[in-house]
Amino acid sequence: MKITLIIACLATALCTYAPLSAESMEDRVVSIIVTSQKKDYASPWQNGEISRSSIAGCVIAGNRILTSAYSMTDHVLVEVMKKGGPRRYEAEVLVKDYHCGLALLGVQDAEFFAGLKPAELAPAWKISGRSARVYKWDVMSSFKEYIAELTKSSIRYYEPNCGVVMHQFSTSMNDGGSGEPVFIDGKLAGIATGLNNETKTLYVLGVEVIRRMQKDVADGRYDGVPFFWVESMDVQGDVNLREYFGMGRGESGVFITEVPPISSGGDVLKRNDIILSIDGRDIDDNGMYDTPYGKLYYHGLIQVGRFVGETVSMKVLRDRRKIDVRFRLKPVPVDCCLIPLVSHDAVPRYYIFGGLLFQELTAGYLESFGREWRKKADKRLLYYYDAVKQFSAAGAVDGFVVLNRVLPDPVNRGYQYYNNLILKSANGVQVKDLMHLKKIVQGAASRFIVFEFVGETTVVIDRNAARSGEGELLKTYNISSPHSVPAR
Amino acid sequence: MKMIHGIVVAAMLVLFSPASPGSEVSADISRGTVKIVRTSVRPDYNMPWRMKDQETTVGSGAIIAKGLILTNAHVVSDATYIQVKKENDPELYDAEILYIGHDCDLAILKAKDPKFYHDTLALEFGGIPALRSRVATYGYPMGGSRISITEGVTSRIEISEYSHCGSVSFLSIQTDAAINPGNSGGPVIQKNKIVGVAFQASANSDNIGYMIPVPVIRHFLEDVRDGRYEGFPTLGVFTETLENVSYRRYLGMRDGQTGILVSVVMPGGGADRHLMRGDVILSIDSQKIANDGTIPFMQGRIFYSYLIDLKQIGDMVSINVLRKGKTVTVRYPLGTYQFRISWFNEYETLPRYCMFGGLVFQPLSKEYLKTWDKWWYNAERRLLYYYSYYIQDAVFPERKEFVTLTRVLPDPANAYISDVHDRVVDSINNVKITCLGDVVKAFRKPLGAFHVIRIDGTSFPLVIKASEVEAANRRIMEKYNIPSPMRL
Repeated sequence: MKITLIIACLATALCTYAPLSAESMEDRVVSIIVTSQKKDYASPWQNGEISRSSIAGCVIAGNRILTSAYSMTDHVLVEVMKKGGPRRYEAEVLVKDYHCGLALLGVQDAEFFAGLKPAELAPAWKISGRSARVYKWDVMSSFKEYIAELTKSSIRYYEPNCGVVMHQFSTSMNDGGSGEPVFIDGKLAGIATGLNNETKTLYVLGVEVIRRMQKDVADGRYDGVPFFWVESMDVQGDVNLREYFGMGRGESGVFITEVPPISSGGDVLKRNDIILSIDGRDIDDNGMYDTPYGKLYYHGLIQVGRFVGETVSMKVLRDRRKIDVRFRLKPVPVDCCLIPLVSHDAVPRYYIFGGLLFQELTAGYLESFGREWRKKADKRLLYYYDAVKQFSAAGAVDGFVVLNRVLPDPVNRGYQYYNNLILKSANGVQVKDLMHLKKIVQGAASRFIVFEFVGETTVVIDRNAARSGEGELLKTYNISSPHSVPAR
Repeated sequence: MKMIHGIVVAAMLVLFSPASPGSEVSADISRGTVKIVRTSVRPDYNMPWRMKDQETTVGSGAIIAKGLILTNAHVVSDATYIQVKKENDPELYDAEILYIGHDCDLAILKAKDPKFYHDTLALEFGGIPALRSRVATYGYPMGGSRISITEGVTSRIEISEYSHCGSVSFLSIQTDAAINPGNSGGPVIQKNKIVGVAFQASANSDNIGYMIPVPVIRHFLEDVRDGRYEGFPTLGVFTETLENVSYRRYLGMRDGQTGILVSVVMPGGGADRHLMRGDVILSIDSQKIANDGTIPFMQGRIFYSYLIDLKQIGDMVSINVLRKGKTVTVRYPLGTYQFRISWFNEYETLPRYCMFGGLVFQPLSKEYLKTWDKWWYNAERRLLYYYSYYIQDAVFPERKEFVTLTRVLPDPANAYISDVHDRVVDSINNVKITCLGDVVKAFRKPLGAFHVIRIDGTSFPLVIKASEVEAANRRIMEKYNIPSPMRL
């Protein structure tokens, strides 16, 4: 036991002999002050709490700053500081892509970049040596260097199904995982985007993700990560299944179990297809392919370093026959998908009629049930969330409107305990979205507006009473508008 | 509100020095009160072939006419051995259950040896005690071994949940006389007559004890007169209150007309072909129903379900409904509803299951969901959705029960599918699974060389080799010590 300890110490000591000193990194690493304001899903006409946090970023070519998108959610003001100095420069967010986890900032005041040097990117698909350094400015404006050891590289997912190369480093950092650059041999090898304080694991987005974003913005238009939203399962060497589906000896791949038509390849792939290879790279029974980082999940071939508009070709086993399919990579659709799965920065839309507060079912709506929303939210809403891919594959195109709650008022007496109900129809018309609902209600000529909800609950509101009482109701609850200004 | 059963584990009964009977203690009543010691064994729904550890608990009971002992169902449920004891007799006597009603939490016992009844008093029934009138509870609660008498007033009379069975509500009376674990089944006395059976207490609150009132006891005694307990009938519908005037007008109700709305007709619940969704129930057996679903009762009002609770299964009910603007009278015999997923705690019954090639199939039930710690938060979400909403949302209407693949007992025959569990089964060998018996039938006809099991929520089939199942069954039963491959 003692021997191993000494060896470990020696190894660490050797590693601290860095080819580039920490000081020279001071012109590449900046600190970013993010002021953010949460959205208030319970009362969507107002905003939530305001908070500030200090995160890190890295200067890259073209006077840009790279950081973690997830450290900047709901931002209202972003300021950057260099060399631990007190002066703050306002930054603008050029790209914030939650599907790949990175954000790109610019600074109007060119003076900011004076004295700063862009970091050089480490070569892709290569981590030379396993020891890395992580840098940040702490709150006392002193520059910190941490040693980190690579433990694992894998494909991780952001919604909806967007794969990124994520490295895990073990580190002594106590506080971080928000945009700190990770250097190997003085070159930028990744951006930290999460820290598990219990296991001391730093999660780092690989340089391939950074390169992809840089290339993507080069033409002045950012298309984002290609969208590949199918459900699949690994064959995992199941000999019975292989025989049942007629897989030959030496053949391997992943099963497609659900194909929503909106996905890239949604028009050519089918349920029960087995993807044998992608662009000539074989997929093994665990759904993995070989890379210099080790085995990675097959989504890497479709989303890491790939761009919208490119063509992917796959060899697929369908009905015991090998066929070739080709499809173009599509961008992630806005409000993807039926139930918007990424709600960061999204302003919750709402519509109030007769004190009934209608909203859209989104990931943000569910997350507003609290940290344990997967356990606490209404079971029916969770079921819809879990089954969203199946709904989509079955041809559903509209999202879901929910009755969040009822603002008690004489006009809605008797309905005041209703909450979290999924709306089916208004006056017999199937409701597509909030705008549609508003149109139905405003265009109604009948005396009553009848709302029907999933689970056989019906609410009837007197149209005139609701209209004439609206001003008073909004005033009582201090609501500026009965509906949010539509974003589109 | 969380209810606790008034049972105490009788592992150690500490003997305190007996207090001399005070003048307020009615010696007569204690001669009609008995201590009940029950040993029980419950099955393990996680491994349905297995029983859990045995338990011995103490409760109370009252001697009524004809040498019968009235107590709570939960005092004697799942018993392997029951003994009764009188206050003035050192002997423990063997007793047996004659009738047990789990919905109303009542049971009738008889001591096997007639000697037990020597020098006992048969207690008579009184009526519903007036609010604030004094009552005394007799029984054997925790904190000692001799009879305990507590006094208090009648605090509230209302329909509330009976937690032994769960998901059922009947008339119950609250009292501030202390009701503690062990009091369960003991008589609550006013003017030397039984006015209730102490049965549950509210946790996290002070002095809220509950007793089963005489109307519910009489219903039970009348039910068992034919030698069999059948339980309480159901109206066979879900109703909604109509407190909103717009809703009433929309339904065509005149001012002054009151009633409740039929929102769901439970298929096979006795009301189909008689009541329809959208009917307004104006009166039941000539008793007018208010818009909040209440009827007059003593000095106040009570939920209309009380009218149904007074009836037996098979009794006729006469209902005036407003249907499409016309008042019609419907009459039908009250029945019970066959729950496709049981909403109740179950007793005196062993879990049904079957096992093929290590795959264990069980019907989805509350008892199965309860195998998760804090099940309402932690159990499989999709199962919780089905459990909560299958009636209202009419999920899988063609299924008699929701057969679930609950676990896979690892064996070479199923080596590759062992991480699939707690999913509802759609089909086996292309046979739709609508009840547990279908599983057995479906496994008789493999698809070629394989059994192909399709699981709800995914198109991914589970495949096991048909030729291996029989040997696997034998191997698994021996290895895991399973006495029988099925209990249907």
